Parts: sequence; structure tokens; C-alpha cells
Amino acid sequence: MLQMTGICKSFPGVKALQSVDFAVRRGEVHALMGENGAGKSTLIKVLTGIYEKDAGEIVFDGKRIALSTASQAQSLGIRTIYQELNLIPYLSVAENIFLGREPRRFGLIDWRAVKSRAAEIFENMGVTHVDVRRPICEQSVAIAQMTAIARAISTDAKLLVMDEPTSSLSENEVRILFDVIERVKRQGTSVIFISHKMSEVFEISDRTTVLRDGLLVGTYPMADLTKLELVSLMIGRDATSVLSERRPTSTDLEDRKPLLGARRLSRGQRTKQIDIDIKTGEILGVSGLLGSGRTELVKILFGDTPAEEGTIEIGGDKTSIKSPRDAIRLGLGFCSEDRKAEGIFPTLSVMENMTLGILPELSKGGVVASKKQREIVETYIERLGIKCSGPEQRMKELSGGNQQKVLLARWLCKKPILMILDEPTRGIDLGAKSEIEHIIADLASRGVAVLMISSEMEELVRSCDRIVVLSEGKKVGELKGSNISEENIVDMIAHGNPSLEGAVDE
Amino acid sequence: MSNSTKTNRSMIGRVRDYLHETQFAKRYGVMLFLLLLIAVSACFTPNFLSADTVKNTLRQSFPVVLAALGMTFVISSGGIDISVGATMALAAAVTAVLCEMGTPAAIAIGCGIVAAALCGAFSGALISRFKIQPIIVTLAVMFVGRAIAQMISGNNPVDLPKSPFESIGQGRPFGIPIQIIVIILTVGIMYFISRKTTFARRVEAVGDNPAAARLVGINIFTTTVAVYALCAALCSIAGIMEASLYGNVDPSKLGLQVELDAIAAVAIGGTALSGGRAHILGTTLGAIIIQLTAVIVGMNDFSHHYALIIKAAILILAVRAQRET
Repeated sequence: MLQMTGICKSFPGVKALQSVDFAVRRGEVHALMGENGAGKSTLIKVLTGIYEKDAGEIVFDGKRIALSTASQAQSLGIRTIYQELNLIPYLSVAENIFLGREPRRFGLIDWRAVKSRAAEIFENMGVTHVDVRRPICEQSVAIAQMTAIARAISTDAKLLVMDEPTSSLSENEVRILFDVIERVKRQGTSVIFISHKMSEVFEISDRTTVLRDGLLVGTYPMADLTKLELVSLMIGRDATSVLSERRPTSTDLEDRKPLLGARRLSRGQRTKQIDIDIKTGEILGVSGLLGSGRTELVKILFGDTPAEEGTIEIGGDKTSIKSPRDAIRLGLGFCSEDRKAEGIFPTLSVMENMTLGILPELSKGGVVASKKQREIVETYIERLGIKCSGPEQRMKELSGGNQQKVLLARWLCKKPILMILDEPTRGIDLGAKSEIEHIIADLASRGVAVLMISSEMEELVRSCDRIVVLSEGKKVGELKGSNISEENIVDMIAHGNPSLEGAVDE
Repeated sequence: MSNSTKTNRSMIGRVRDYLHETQFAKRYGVMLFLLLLIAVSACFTPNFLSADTVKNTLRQSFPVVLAALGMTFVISSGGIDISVGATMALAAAVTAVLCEMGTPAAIAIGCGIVAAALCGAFSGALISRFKIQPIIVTLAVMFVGRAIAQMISGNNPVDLPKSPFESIGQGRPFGIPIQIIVIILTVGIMYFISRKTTFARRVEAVGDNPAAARLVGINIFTTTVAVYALCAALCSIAGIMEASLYGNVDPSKLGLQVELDAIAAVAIGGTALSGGRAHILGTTLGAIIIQLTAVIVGMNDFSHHYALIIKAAILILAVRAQRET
């Protein structure tokens, strides 16, 4: 169906792809795997006509094709569904599906046909209960994703490219997406699937092609590989050492006094009467589905959206946290789950990104002590292994993992007593991920309390001393010691949330 | 495709990549353009290369340079201030009216500057506290500012006393027009602020990503208020000195449309209108380029409308050349 051979693509100073072969069969789900910078997205961009290849050949549907624009690829039936969906939020689901090619009658748009045909497409995908007349911005992320897929299918897509389609979906929504993929596949459409989540890749894919540093590692049937083998292929060394065993809990943790104690925290519908205790040097995990109120809880603790009810004590003293500035004054630090929107300053330098929080300490009479500033920044670049051309490099040019390290350094140099981390490893490749896990463990061993949210249960199980499980804005349980396991977390979420089965929308 | 064109293209490509990587256009583009403009004019315009041209250009660019320096920080913080012209008029009118009432000149000038700064602070407060778009808030302040200026001056030009305003407007310490000295001092101070101080770091952070700025504990309210107050204070100095040059304050004309040239100067100078890094020297050169085109057109006896068209072309070209990819 698709045969790419000897694809080469260079950018100034980088060979992004070196003679890569890649083939997709009709009706298969093919996982494209590799760490960030391995060449996955370059390959996809060559395939979809966004980049022009330097050398190589693409055969699609038996014909040799030369792509130079994205619309050519689309007219051939190659469709991409991006992480950031290309939908128009204020138009309805149906309008989005038929945008630019609305069925017409007497030269006018036939709205009846738009709606009925949209509903029909959803039915064929096995997705019911979607109001196609409602705008995208009122729908869940999953429905938006389905809309993008529906748009692709309705244009007779022969090959769907899905780049991290599950990154913002809940477990339940992922199930629905996978059902749709199975159906699409049976109808003869091929799918290229890109994801950082191993378990999903193994569940949905038939074969996988692994890239590393712009080179082809190989193509394998999924059934022939174990998770560990696949990871080893991706990083080019034995994975057992990277995804290390569970972090041992400090022995004296039980006897320590709580650093922060929150009672009956409430705000709106998302946070209801939650109690949280955390001790110095403890890593406390917060688990729960997307929308269970995890992020809302930590944003209350950090004062971004202050509590409407409840009390917070730090070191035994009652405090009030009404703004991030209050929280910072009390020694709290916070890394948001949304690095781009709430973390980085894209056009400013690494140096400024790292030291904006400690400017008062770094300055005299409002003038920054630039020598001291540079020393601190260079120390952290070295200590955390941040890959950048130097303190002056602009933040937006760094990879996701390195950006996250800079953001961690921003708080490390502030020396917080409690660090709140919301999805600290989201969208980061495996090497950097394990490094960040080590940084977090190191923080805890120096006596910093860490409150950590993650959608990846394996990560919580590996790192945390204790895990609080949330569901629908309430705390449904707590796990510690030998009770911490993925099964127990899932069990607790399901137990505390019996209405979960079959729910699509929130 | 023949072989020679292929190597040709890759040569151009390589040069382009090099220019892109070093952000050449962003760093040196304005400077090069100014030099080019001077070189071309020197060839075609008689008597162009003279101390008088330099003096005239700088002196005439004075109000725009000062307003544009303040505007640079405003734009860097993610905002915009279209009330700068009105602020100039307001400060000058306050000063003139107080002098007329017999207030000592120094106090009158101080009051003019403070009035303008309060106006700016008010804009900043509205923008930050009530989340109204900067262009709307400063549009409102522009209307009100000029209205107040006209009201207090009774709708007529007000004369300034010869002493000390004649020396403020027309003074030539060391034989150099006072405007040029003030430009050099202000550019120096603003450049120092933009490079070395925590204030500029906070301003750029707020402009680059306000949500992130809040989460690192930056006080967005005080930062925004300070930025607009600083801009207004610079404008007040420009307004009072301009009025001194003519010996009177015409509240309906003083500073008219300065905001447009100031915004153009900032844009040509390389500060992104979406906020972020503030380019003080770029802004200064931008303001000088704008004035220089007018001077060149005037010296060649063309109609001044051509200056506007050239200004438009430069603006578009400059912003295109510095575009982020």
C-alpha cells in the first residue's frame, strides 16, 4: 500500500533521515517508534508533503508519487490527525467534518445533508450519542478527536496518520478511539500510529518500525517483541537499567511530622472536601482519571485558583494561600502540566527562564548580578544534563525534555520545601524521562516534599512513597508501601466511580 | 535542472541558512538598513552628508524617539499604548497652565510629568485589573487626555514663559542641540534598564507568557502599571520639551499622531508586537530611519506624501525580514 525507500532528508547541520525504508500494508495499524529526534515526525512530514525529501522514492497505491504540497497528499488519501487538532472550535461537529466541501443543493449548502451524513459517519464508526449540531468547543477532547477522524474517513482516506492521538484522552476515551481504529482498519484503511505510551502501542498495532537518530533500526511484527525489547531498540541500549525498579522508601518516613496538611479543601464541582498530608522528603502521588480533579487540587495548593473552603497548614502553622505569590513565599514550587501555556517563556533565553523566580535574590537595587546569574545557570545545566548551546539559547529551540529540566531547575535554584509537579514527564522521551525521575528522587532524598501527578501509573508506582487516588473531585483512597500497584490504583478508581462504564462525555 | 544552477541554488541556500541561524536580520538588519539609506541618499542628495543633516534629523526625531522608547517596554510587555501623543499634550498643557498661574517652572514641570505618569498608571491598572485590551484602554485615555489638555488650556494655545523654557527647548550646551543630548542620555538609560535590570526581565516575561509569569510569582499588576507609567513619563518629557521649542503649547496639535510613528519605530526596531524581548537600540534606529526618510524627501523637494509611502514600505519590509519562522 505504502512503500517508502531510501528516504533522506537533511536540515542545516542535521541529517534527520538517512536512507530510511518504511512500508505500510493495507488495513494494518503500524506503529512508528523512536525517541524525540529519532526522525519520526520528519518521516511523517515527508510522507504528507510538508517537507520535500532530498532523496528516495515513495510508492503509494502502486504508483510512484512525488509530493511537494500537503494538499497533494490529501487528495491521494493520506490524512494526518495532529496532536493539536485542526478543527474550528466554534463550528459544529458536522460543519467541521464537511468544511470546504459541504454538500450543496441549488448552489447553497444543504444543511440537512450535512447533518444526516455526519451522523451516519459517526454511526459507521460505532460512536453514538454525539450531537453533531453542537460546536466543537462544547464537546470533549475525545469527540473532537473522533470528528477529526470522521473528517478523514469521509474524504476516503486510505492512510491515516495519528500523531499522539491519546495524549489528552482519558482511559475510557482511549477505549472508544481504539474501537474506531479497529473498525477503520477492517474497512481497509491503514493507520500509522505514533505514541509515547508503550501499552497502547502494543495493544493496537500490528507491526512497528523503529527509528533511531535518523536511521532505520528495523520493522517488526508486534507479537515478536516484548516492551523491554522495543524500548531497548529505541534507545539503542539495554532498557532494564533505564526503567529502574521502584524507588525504596526511606525507613524513617513514618516518624516524620507532616510538612503540609490540608483539610476539607473544596472549590466548585472539581474539588470536594479533600484532605492531604505530606511529609518532608516524601513523594506523594496523585492518581485519577483525566477530569478527576487532580490538576484542580494542586492548583488550589499553589494558590492559582484558591480554595473556597478548607484550611492549609504548613509546618504546623495555619496559612492562607490566595495566589501563587503567597505559595512561593511559603516555599512551594509548581511545574504545570502544560509546559507551553504555563511554563516556558519561549522567546527568552534559558538563563532567564531558569532565574526569573530568583531575581530578587540575584539583584542589588534592581540590577541583576549577571556573573552570579550565569554561574548558577551553568551549574544547573551541567547538573541536570540540559542539552543546549548555552545559557543564551532561546527556550523554544530546546526539546521538550530539556525544557522540562530548565523548568525544574527554575524551582531547584529557589530551594523549595514542597515541589508540586503536574505530569512532569508528559511528552518527554524515555531517556529524559528516567533522568527526570532521578532528579525527583534526588530532591526527595534532600528532604524536599514532592507532590506529583501522573497519568502514567507505572511512573507513580516506581517513584511514590504514597499515592492518593481521586475520582470525580473526591479522594477515594490512599495506597502506601507494598499496597502500591497499578492494579490497586485502577481498582480504587473503578470502585470510587461506579458510573464510569459506558460514559463518553463528562 | 542543470548542474550549475543546482550548486548556485545551494550556495544561496547556504547563505540563507547562515543568515537564518545567526538571526542576522534580527540583530543587524536595522543598522544595515540605516547605513544603506544613508549611502544611497549621499549619492543622490546634494549636501546630504553634513552635520546639519544629522542635527536636523535627530532633533526632529526627538519626540518620536522618546515615545518609542517607552512604547518598546509597553509592547514588550504584550501591550500597546496609543495615548502617547495625548499624554504629551496633557503634560505640556499642565505645565503651561501652572506657569501661567505663577507656579515656579520646576514645580510646574514636575506636576506635568507626574500627571502624565498617573495617566499611564491608570491605563496600566485598568488593563491589568479588569483585563480590558490595551488598545481599548489607551484609546479611551487618548480621547480623555487630549480633552483634559484642551479643557484646562481653555482651548487656546498657551504661551510658556521665556525663562527657563527657551533654554529647555532651544538650548545648545557644548554647541549641541539639547534634544540630541536628551536622546543620548535617555537611550543610554533605557538600554541599561533593558539589559541589566530585574524590571526589564519581568516585563519581558509578562509579555512572553503571562500565565507562566504569574506562576513564577511575578506581580503582573505592578509590572504593568510601572510599564505604562514609565512610557507616559517619557512622553511627558517629550511633550514639555517640544512645547518649549515653540514657546507655547497648542493642546489640539502637540504630539498628534506621534503614537503611530512610535509604534512603527518599535516594529522596525525588531520588538515583536506579541511581546517578549525589548530591543531599545533597534527602536532608536527605527525612529531615526522614519525621520530620515522625511528629511531626505524634503531635501530632494519631493512632496511629503512620498515620505509616508516610503515609511509604509520600510515598515512592511522590516517586519517581514524579522519574522519568526
